Amino acid sequence: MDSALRIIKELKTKGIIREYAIGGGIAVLYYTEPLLTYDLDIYFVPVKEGLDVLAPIYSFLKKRGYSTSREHILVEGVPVQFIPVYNDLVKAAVNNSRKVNYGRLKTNVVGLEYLIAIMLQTYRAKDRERLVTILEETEFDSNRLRSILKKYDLYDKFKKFRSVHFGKN
Amino acid sequence: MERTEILNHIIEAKRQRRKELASLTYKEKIRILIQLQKFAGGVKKPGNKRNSGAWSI
Repeated sequence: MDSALRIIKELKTKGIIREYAIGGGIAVLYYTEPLLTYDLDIYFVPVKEGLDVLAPIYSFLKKRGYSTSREHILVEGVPVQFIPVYNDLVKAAVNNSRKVNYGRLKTNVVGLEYLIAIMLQTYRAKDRERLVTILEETEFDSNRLRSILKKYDLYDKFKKFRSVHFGKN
Repeated sequence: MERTEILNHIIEAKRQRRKELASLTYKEKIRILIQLQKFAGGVKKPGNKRNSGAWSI
């Protein structure tokens, strides 16, 4: 994992991507008990907008000898999925990511309140399952969360979710 | 101890355990994740599919 994170960081230092942050299950795992997941999702802000924002990343990684497998690229044994920021919420999540230590390495992880907002937005079965875990196990900043949710029109959805799963309004 | 009391005790102990696990370092959690991936690798999913393999790091 250290090597994979180092390579991902290099994409930024070499100017291939503008910014990045770990999202998905591996971001959730930073805040909660270990949970089963298989992909390392990397949200990134491309240097240039365009149709094929993944091309420079794949070209760089393929030159380094990494191979693709379905929607992933295998970096140092870790299946990585690069996801360009696809809306304003995800872009804000990357630009306000949390700097965390992975051993001696520094990396970026989507902040807890943004992670909750993204999962509320995507709302797949696994997002809902992870949301319950996060709301049970973590101490998020309620004011910060409320402000993010209101900005992206997700506050009512959150209240409904919390009411269904925790009986709270 | 009454049955509800025992149950509450168990639930609280589980909650504490989850909290302890949540406070592990990121690196330690990834180590545990790889163990989980290895265990799950042997489990068949519906449709006779296997779970994805463990990270080879």
